Amino acid sequence: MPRKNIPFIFLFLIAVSLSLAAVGCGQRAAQPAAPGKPYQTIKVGAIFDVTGTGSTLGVPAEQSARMVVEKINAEGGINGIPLEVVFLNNESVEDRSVLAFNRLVGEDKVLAVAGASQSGTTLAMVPAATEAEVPLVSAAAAVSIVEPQPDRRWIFKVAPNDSHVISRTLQHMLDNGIKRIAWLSVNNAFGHSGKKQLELLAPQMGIEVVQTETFEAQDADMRVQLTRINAARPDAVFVWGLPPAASIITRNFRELGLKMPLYHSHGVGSRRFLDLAEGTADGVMFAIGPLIVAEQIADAHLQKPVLLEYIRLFEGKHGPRSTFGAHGYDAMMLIVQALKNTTLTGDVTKDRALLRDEIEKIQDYVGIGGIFSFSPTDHVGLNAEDLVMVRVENNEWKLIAE
Amino acid sequence: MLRKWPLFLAVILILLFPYVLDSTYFRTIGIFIGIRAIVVIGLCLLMGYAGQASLGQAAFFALGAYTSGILTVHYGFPPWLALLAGIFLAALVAVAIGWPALKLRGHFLALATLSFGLIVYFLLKQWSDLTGGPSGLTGIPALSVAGMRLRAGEYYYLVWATVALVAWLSYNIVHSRIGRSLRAIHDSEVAAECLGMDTFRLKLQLFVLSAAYAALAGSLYAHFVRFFSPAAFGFKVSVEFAIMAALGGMASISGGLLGVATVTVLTEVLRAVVPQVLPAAHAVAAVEITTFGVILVVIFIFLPDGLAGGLKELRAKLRARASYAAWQSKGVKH
Amino acid sequence: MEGLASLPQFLLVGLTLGSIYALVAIGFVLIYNVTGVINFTQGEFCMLGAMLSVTFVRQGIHVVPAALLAVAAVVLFGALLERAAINPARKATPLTLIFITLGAATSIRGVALLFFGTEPYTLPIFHNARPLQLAGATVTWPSLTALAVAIVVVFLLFLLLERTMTGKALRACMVNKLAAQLMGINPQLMSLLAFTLSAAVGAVAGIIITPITLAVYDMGLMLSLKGFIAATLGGLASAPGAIVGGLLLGVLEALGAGYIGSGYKDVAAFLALLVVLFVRPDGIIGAIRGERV
Repeated sequence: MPRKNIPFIFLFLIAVSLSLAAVGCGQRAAQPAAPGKPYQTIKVGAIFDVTGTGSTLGVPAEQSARMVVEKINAEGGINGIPLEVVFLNNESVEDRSVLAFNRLVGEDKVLAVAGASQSGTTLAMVPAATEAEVPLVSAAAAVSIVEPQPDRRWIFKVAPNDSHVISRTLQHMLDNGIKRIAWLSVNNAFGHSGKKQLELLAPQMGIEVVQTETFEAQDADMRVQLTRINAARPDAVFVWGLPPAASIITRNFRELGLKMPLYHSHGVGSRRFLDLAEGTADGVMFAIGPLIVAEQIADAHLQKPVLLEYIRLFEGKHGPRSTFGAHGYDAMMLIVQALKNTTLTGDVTKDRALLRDEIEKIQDYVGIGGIFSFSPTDHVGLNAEDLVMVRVENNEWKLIAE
Repeated sequence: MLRKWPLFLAVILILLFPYVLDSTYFRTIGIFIGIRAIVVIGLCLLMGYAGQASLGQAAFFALGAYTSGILTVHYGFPPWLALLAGIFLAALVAVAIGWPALKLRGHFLALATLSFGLIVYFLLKQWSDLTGGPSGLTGIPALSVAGMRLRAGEYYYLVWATVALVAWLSYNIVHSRIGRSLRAIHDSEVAAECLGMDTFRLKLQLFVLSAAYAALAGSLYAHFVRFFSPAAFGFKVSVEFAIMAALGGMASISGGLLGVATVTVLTEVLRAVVPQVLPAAHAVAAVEITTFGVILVVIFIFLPDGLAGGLKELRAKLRARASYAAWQSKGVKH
Repeated sequence: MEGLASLPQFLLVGLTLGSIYALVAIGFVLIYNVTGVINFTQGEFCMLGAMLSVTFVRQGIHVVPAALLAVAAVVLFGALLERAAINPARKATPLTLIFITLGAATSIRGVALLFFGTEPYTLPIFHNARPLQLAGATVTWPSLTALAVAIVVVFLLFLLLERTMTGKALRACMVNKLAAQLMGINPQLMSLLAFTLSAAVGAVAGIIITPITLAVYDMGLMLSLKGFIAATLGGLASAPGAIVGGLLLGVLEALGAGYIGSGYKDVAAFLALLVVLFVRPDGIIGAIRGERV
């Protein structure tokens, strides 16, 4: 009879409560304010997809965000108050994103949260951020993260919209006489959002999509999809996915002897993509922020000094640069920039609202992903002009002059 | 009545939990534990009494969540009606899967539910016009009771009231005539059939019940997180449910609760403690996963009836020792 | 509807992946028939074989000795696993044993994450080898090697099971454990043997799949799943059944993706499983033994 177990159930429940209390004690309690200052430290949260399917995005993002904290505190903090960032890992799982967010907002009482790196894990936090009235600055790509405004007034993003990347790429195709394309996208939020944008933009720009295929992020072999695509005889193939799948597709593409131009998404702008493609990536083209070809852009370009500085810091410490790292950096820097302009009152709820307003007011901020200008109707801050076209030559990135 | 005081104490602890540990984080954990407990109690009954593992409960969970989500977002259904629709749909599907699967002996329900779970996951991603596809379903309304919108604190009590309801329902089933038949099947299916029981029908009813519980939990989940995508309902989630049920102890309602609480608390404790010792990111996840796996293996080797079974044994041993001591003190010569 | 022109390509892809699934399925079947355990660590044996061989190659060891070394290491590991986790629990219910292997698989994955990180790794041993054209399909060297190695492994296994006393003892145990015991065969020894053999076969599968699909710390889960399904398609009763099941699963996936659509690729495979379960529970080959009462 179950009743026999019950006396021990309550002992167990006590143990459960005590463990959770121990976890709770591990959290930092709100610090008492020093005299004259609204806070002893300014607390900001960061949630990145450090492990799991999004780790290629999350790891450099977190590393870059940490660089921001070091840099700011070395300069004396924000208006004299040290910056404290609580980093959490959502393990690329949506529920964990929500849990992490609630912890940052409820326990650590942060003023804003940077993250996450993927569209799915970001979207999961949107209802919570809106309800708790905490600004969320995401490093993910899907345009649906910040639309519609003003419903999503608390949410911002720093990665270029998939719509910008796609229209930039389609423009390059048109300029090169390509009229009919095939589309191959990953079957997750990133790929799905890209597909929706393509279906909107391609007819507008006069390009016909003759075949669409999908693949799973962890699929091992895409030769079947590519064979189907080949049979439709497109002028070019447009792939929307991330490494390792994107690398495997590139390899399969060469193995099958396909000759038409191969375009990718901005997700392949990393050394990993090239390494895993094992030398087959030459000729691949994509639209992306200027980070990976920073040395090749004109000296007069506003972003060049900022880019080179970031590259110096990141490559000195962590390894090859990655656009995902740049998004983490930009997300944290934008929050910091807005904080510098906010007159903090010491009332967390009020300060979150003030901070949100300051982020929205940012104009012409020179970041890594581009030059950001927000407004009440634009929480992306970037547009297609912030992107450049890149081609892989001899396993290196080459800026395509236009 | 007084003998049930441990039960009352447990109830009081659950009721006071959000006040003792007052924060969004703990409330969220408490709500997740409650929601999972509803699924796992059903699974415990299925595994304990029908002796069949289901490796696809996440699919029924998804059916409840998506039915609630789609009907309220796209068709403007009142949430409570959508909830009932989800349960009904899950029950129908369970009959469709269970009917052929339970006619077979062996591990076939496990395999059938495994495949079914994966098929549902992929279809949820494919039928994006209906489900939102991989980008997920958003804008799910919060629940209201008597016109008053429920916030997190109140939602906690709603969820645990449902857990109590489900537990009470299951308790009554287990202690009824049906329950006795079920226990007979658990001991020996052939013997039970010789006694004239329709084992197939009883197992099917249990399977449908577990599916209904999972769908109910799914609806509660939908109205709490208000955004989800198919990623929340994959194979790993089904495996987690099954592990919680087995760990807690099958054929035991409190075992279900025990399993969910143990696994959830254990993972949260690991996540809080390990970063203090090992700051590197993937090292943290690695240690968590490894520890979790090792604990699982160890517990199953030494406590094959799960934690509830282990506690039962402990209690029996203590009782035996107590009665032996009492007997000895009476000075009986042997 | 795609034309038949693409059929050879689809078949080739299907057979390549199918041979990997077949190897994993053989491992499942060996262990299941000798010990009654459904071994969810099977996929992890593949992952370990892959990751270890990658590590050895990176240390500068030539690929063939690196592979053999990796297989040996995984075999040792399989034996340790059997002694530490399976043998002590051999009296438990099949359901409990499933969860023990699930727990063990999780631990192995965690340790792999610790040592190898989350990045995928390659075995770039076919640098710039041009693919062959065969009967209208492009055959890559990694695929060819995978098929060849799979055939060799199956042949070796056949020799072992049919021509050696140990192999015959193993088969006896698979057919009827009690009778085998009465004939003086030690079931615990057979259990150990089954695990080491499955570990070897799994490690080989992991190594040959890496040039095609890359090795990553969590590749084991999907492989276990696919191998389990392949084994069931084949009837869970014999190694030849496992091979047929594996090849069938690979081909079904490829044809499903090729002719129905890439999104339905996995659905096709699992749907096929459901159909087989309900219509012909003995699988495509052979009879499955009934549950003991």
